Amino acid sequence: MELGRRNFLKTAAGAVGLALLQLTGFGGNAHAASSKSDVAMLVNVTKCTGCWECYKACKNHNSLEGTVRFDPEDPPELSSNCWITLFALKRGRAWRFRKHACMHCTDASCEQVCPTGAISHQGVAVVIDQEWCVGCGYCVQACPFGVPHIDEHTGTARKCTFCIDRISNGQEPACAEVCPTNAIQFGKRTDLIATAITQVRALRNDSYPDASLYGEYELGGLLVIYVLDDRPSVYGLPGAPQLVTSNAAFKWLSGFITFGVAAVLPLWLLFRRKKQIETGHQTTIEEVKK
Amino acid sequence: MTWSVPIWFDLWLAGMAGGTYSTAFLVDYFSGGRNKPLLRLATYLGIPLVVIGVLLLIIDLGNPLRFWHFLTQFKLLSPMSTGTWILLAWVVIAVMMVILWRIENSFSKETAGRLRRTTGFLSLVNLVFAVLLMIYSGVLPAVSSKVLWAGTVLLPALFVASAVSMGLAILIIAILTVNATNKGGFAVLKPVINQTLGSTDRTIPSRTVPRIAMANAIVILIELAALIGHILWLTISAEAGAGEAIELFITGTLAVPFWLGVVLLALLMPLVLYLINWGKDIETGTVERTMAISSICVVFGGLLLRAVIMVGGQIMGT
Repeated sequence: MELGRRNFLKTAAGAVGLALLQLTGFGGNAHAASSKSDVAMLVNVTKCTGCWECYKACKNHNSLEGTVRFDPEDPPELSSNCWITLFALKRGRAWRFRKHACMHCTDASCEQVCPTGAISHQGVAVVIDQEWCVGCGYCVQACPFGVPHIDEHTGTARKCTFCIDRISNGQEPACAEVCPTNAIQFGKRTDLIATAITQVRALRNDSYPDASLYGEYELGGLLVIYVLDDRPSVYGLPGAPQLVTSNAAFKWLSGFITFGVAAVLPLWLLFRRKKQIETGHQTTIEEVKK
Repeated sequence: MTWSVPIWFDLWLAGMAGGTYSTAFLVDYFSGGRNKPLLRLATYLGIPLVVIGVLLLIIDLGNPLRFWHFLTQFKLLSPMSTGTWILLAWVVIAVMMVILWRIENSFSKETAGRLRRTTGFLSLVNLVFAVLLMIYSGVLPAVSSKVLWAGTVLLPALFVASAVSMGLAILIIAILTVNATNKGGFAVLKPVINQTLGSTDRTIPSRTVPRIAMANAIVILIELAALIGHILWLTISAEAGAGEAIELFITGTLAVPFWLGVVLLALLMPLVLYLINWGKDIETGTVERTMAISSICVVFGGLLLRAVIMVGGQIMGT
């Protein structure tokens, strides 16, 4: 081995330290400054009748193949060709529905882990560039809401685009436009949040003590805000979703520590001792010669 | 299942390559350069392992022909992006090392010495990439929304311990094979080993195998601790789905491959076999065979571990 032991240890420690420092430094929210968009979508589950018009409008506008007859007992799952579904919840004899689609998180895990940069914020929405996506599936594993899916035909990840084409032309997203009960509203974010707070307060006063507002702060603020008559977990929403990269530095660190404990230490103990004994032996011979 | 068989194999091969190279480097380094053939063997073995792993990754893409898009970005926070560069860097440096080893004897003593120093430096740099390679294979699933993979910080620790264990097992198999060819066995492999080791002094001290086996016993204990820690942490975790994820392994659909494949075959059996052979003469055929069998169990157990965890994470969802 041509390198001195001390130099080797110094260089190795320096390299590891630098990598960790960089990771920790980058561990924060890359989009914190540009987080809040001006617009948002408000979904009130108490107004939704499960008419399925949003689903149909989404299919039509985005030319997504295949439609199903809606059955609240067995609603379709999100897929590469189904960008909106309804989370159905039975309450006594009645049903409650929550429109489920991409939340367009400010701190979007899919965007962070996408290895090719195909996923990015385009204006207000998180969009997958279909010409650049390689179909690695990392966004599928990273999304805390289970939204993106790989399409077998295109080989790319696909999901709701927040009708970015319509919004840029001054229109509402297709699902909001067709909603007959105003359960889905599109508008100015601050106005919608104020409305949502009022609606949640009213629900709490009206025998729904666990009514909650979801999306105002989660993941830096979601583009889709929910008024729920119960806790988020009841509606299949993660209580405190985390940006998946937020503790990545600790995960790298746990790997480094394990390498030190599982490889460096045992091998040093088992092989270093041998060298010391042999060096000691050589010294004795030299001393004898002298 | 979005991440299926090719991904399990990629994580397994990357871990194995990183583990073999890094442990070979450390054994040689700590023994004062007395195990030089190990580093060469590890480098020559690692290159095809990593290349096959990368090819599997490419094949598994929805759009394999767009694989070059990976090379247009470096995203520190995306383990798949950093992993791509780590895999690439390791292979490129390993190939450079191989070229230098092969040409060093064609030059004068002075130039050959300079080339050897360069190779020594490259081997150190590649140690860093080998370690990153092992960690990347654990961080990739751990940076996700899957509770089984991301619910604790111990998955990378588990995968690194498993990679180190597999690396040591591969070294044992490699040493036994080289020693056997030196004695006239495995005639088919002789030309390959001759090409790999070239004119290097291929003597590996007889005490190396038992010491590596003992090191592997320690590593297996650490791997067991990481596995138990991961399970306990998830059990007491308040995260939604954590309890179900654990149930899946303990009594659920993955219980048989987990208990028989991972715990028994990959961990407990090799651990016991390595320990009971400690101090015995490696030249004895039975000890040699037991060491080889234990090591093969460790290597294939590593694949099972990854397969079970990758399937479990995706069954459980977020």
